[in-house]
Amino acid sequence: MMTNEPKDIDVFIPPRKPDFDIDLEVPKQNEKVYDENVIESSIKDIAETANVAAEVSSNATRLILKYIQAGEKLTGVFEKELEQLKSEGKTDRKQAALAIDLEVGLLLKRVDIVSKKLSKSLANKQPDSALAQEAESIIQKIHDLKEERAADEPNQVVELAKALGVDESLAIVNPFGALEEKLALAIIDDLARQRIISAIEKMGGPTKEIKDFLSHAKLQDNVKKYGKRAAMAGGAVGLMMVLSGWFAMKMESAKRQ
Amino acid sequence: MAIPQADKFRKMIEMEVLKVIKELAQRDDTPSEKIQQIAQTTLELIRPEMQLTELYQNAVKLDDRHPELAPVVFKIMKEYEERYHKKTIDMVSDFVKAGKHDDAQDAVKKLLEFKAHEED
Repeated sequence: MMTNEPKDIDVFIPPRKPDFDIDLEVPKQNEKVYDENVIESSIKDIAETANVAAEVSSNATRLILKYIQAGEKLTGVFEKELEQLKSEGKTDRKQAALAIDLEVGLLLKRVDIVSKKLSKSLANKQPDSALAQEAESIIQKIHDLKEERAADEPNQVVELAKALGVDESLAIVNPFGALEEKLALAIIDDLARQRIISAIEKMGGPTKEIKDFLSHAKLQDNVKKYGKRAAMAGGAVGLMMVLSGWFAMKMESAKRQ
Repeated sequence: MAIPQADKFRKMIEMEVLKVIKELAQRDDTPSEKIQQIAQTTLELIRPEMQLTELYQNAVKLDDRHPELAPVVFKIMKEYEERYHKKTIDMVSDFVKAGKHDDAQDAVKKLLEFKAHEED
């Protein structure tokens, strides 16, 4: 007897759709796949930095490679190298100044990146306090390094005064006053003028500080102060022009060599 | 302790590698891992305590895993011959004497490529 039992029917049961959406992010073509932090650590400027860094120490280029290899940000590398050199007693003023300049350069690049990220986060109404703190600490660091640099650098006007025979204590206390008299003398005295020029030349040329001192305004005050010599005002301007123009030419010709 | 000449040569090699790294980073299509590997290889092959010949022997291997460093190897070979007046062929002889025949073969290949390029 046949029965009308229902046959088993294969029913296809589709797999249950997950309750959450899985967003499989496929990198778009040409999308950056690198770790942004590594690239942000000024790898792009490394060759320029390395070129100058080699003057800080013979270890600087290797140090930069180590930082790259570790994927670390470069900020701090020159400060550490400088501390190392100082602890070994192997650094001079020029090296220290260079290391600080390089470190400040790296920090400025980093602060630029951090502030762009911060602006973005603020625009998205999601302020990132960690970024804000980092920006603040970098700016403080730059300030501290610049102060350290300024403290290490000799006061050029004081050095010039001492080179021209001004008593050291007077040179430190009142360098401009001490030099004014020398400069007034130089207006009428060829030998005095030559001494000033030689002293500045030995210092490697007029620094901004010296140039400011030799500026027209200061020389004019100087001429008024020394009364009789005010008649030589033409000579004062001439001296200023000679000193600033002559040195500019010397620096240019040194650069060309 | 490395002699000053070797130190100068080592710095030159490191500098040239850093220039390549800079170019790769600026192109924005190089994974950071690749850049880190290049730095790692350089640190392993080029070390401060090495003498001139050893530096050169290792430097010519830089592009074995990183073809991007081929121009650097070329520059190094040129620098070594011109500035340090060394015969590259001496390095090949050293490899053969030490029984490092694979290294010798690679060095000969690179030397021939270098010389061919010089004659262009």
